[in-house]
Amino acid sequence: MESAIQMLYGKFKMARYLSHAALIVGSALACVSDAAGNSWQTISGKYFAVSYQSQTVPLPLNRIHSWQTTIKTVDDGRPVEGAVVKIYGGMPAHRHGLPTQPRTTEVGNGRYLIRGLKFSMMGDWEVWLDVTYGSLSEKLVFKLSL
Amino acid sequence: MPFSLRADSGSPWTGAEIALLRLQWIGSLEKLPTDPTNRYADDPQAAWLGHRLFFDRRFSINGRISCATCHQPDNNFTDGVIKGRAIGEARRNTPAISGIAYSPWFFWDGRTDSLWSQALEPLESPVEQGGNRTFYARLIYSDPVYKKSYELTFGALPDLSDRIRFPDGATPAGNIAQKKKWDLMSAKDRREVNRIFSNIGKAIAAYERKLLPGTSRFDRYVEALLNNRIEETDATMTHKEVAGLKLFIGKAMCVTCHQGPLFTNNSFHNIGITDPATLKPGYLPAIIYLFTDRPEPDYGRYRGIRRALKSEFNCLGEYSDAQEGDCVELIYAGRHHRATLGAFKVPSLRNVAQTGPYMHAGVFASLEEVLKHYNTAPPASVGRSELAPLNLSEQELEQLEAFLRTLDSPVNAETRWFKRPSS
Ligand code: HEC
Ligand code: HEC
Repeated sequence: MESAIQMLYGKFKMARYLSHAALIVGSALACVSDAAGNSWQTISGKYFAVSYQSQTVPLPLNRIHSWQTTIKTVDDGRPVEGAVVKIYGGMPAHRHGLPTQPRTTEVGNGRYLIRGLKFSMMGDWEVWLDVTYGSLSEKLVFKLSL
Repeated sequence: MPFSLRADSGSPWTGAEIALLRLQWIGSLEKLPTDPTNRYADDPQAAWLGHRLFFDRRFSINGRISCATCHQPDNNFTDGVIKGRAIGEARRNTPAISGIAYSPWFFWDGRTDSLWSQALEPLESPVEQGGNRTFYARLIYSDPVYKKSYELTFGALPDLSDRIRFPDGATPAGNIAQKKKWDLMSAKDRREVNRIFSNIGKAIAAYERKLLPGTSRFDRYVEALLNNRIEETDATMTHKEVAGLKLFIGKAMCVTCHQGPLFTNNSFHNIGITDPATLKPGYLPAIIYLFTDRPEPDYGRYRGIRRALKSEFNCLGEYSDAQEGDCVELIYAGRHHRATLGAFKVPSLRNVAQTGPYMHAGVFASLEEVLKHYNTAPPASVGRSELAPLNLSEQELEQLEAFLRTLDSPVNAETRWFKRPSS
């Protein structure tokens, strides 16, 4: 979502995080960005649809926090129970991985809690979820920016 | 909101930039958080004792070295040499330590996760203070002032005059003979000594928590800016310095890592610094390291996190006062080589003009050399550098350097904490 600041200062590579910095201090200028984790985000792959919401909003900079996620089948929207979910990620533009090694615990009814996420820099991040359920396995990528 | 998006009024800043500047401002530094691993962290008696231990040269095997030998109060708590020097030469550059209590990780490679467990390493390192834990425990025991202060804070000491139970020179971190002595002690006595040793660290940490960063010219500038005192901003920083600051938070992207009021995100990054004293990795099989004087490559955080996880003095260990829920930094710390190989802790840039030589290996003597490195971004020899060349002009580099010099801010603490205690 483009905020006023982003449009005005789009020529800066870092316009994205400038606008988020404005968010952190609660500027009325930038509207609440979805990418900042305030609402559920969903991504669908071939087999699985995964939604997440950060338990800390807006997405905190440089602080360990958790995400609630739900995993459903793409076909019929059934919650996926007993999946193995592994978390990786990083900042592709900066060629480094996540600073932490998050862990998932299954809460039930297709819900999984991801603990130990941390985004140590402003900029564009990717969080990869490796979801394996029975013989089905796929990698879903969440893109977000701080 | 205290600021508005204005292209008028002659201010060089946009609203978004001002928001970013506010985050770097010392006024945004939150109150020092408690340290759940150290229940004495804010105990005045512990700080009193820690202050003395920090300066006491008897706290070394040769009686000549203290923490302050390398972390010199008159020198911003660093030493101005490429690598720290005490009994021998340390492996890395001596960092300045004001504001260090805000960090979740310590040492360039983050090999300890608390300020008190950090302090235990130089005490036993053969090139720093060179002692061992029974030696230090007995020093506390045999000095009536220390003994009294210790017992007031931490409780009664065992009878350390018993050299059968507590032999000289016993530590699991030492040479073969020292390890052997340690192993011959009873498990209970080993725990007892470890407890005293960790309390020594906790007292020193309580003292180090007093060393906070002060207000710099940059902070006064931002404060004036936030309060719309434009004339004052002009009088506080020159155009050149302001241009440098603009680069710092803009085109040069320094603020991505040197983020927040301490100018560090407390994280680990690989920016392609190679210690010339080490061997280059990859060229030689590991066994060759046994036959050369040159140390193996510095793998940085890759090794550091593994050591922190194994340490008996970590957040989860029995000498920590923390609950498991307090140890999220340790529990979830990334170990993967992609995030850790050749990565070092982002140092604070407060006072940076005063704290050279720079980087973990002290490879750059001047800020000019540091900036040249960022401008060209040479590839790393260990892991992969995260930097891309900035290609800034000569003039821009000078502006950046001028800005870095506005971060001079003497350590902010009561003067008594700077001095060797009188009694
Ligand atoms: C040889 C000189 C020397 C002595 C003596 C010494 N240090 Fe250090 N100190 C260093 C060096 C070098 C490093 C960085 C080492 C590394 O990262 O591997 C360091 C790191 C530190 C750090 C971590 C800073 C950071 O940015 O993570 C703290 C805190 C510290 N020392 C406190 C102490 C205390 C407390 C003592 C006394 C118990 C002490 N030092 C004794 C040289 C010294
Ligand atoms: C990718 C993260 C990152 C970025 C971006 C970055 N730095 Fe650093 N900086 C570091 C790390 C990590 C170190 C320590 C590296 C080492 O010792 O191996 C460091 C060290 C330094 C030092 C040395 C400080 C000392 O006490 O030794 C200075 C000065 C510095 N950076 C300034 C800058 C400036 C100016 C910029 C922008 C041009 C910048 N940095 C951009 C991560 C970064």
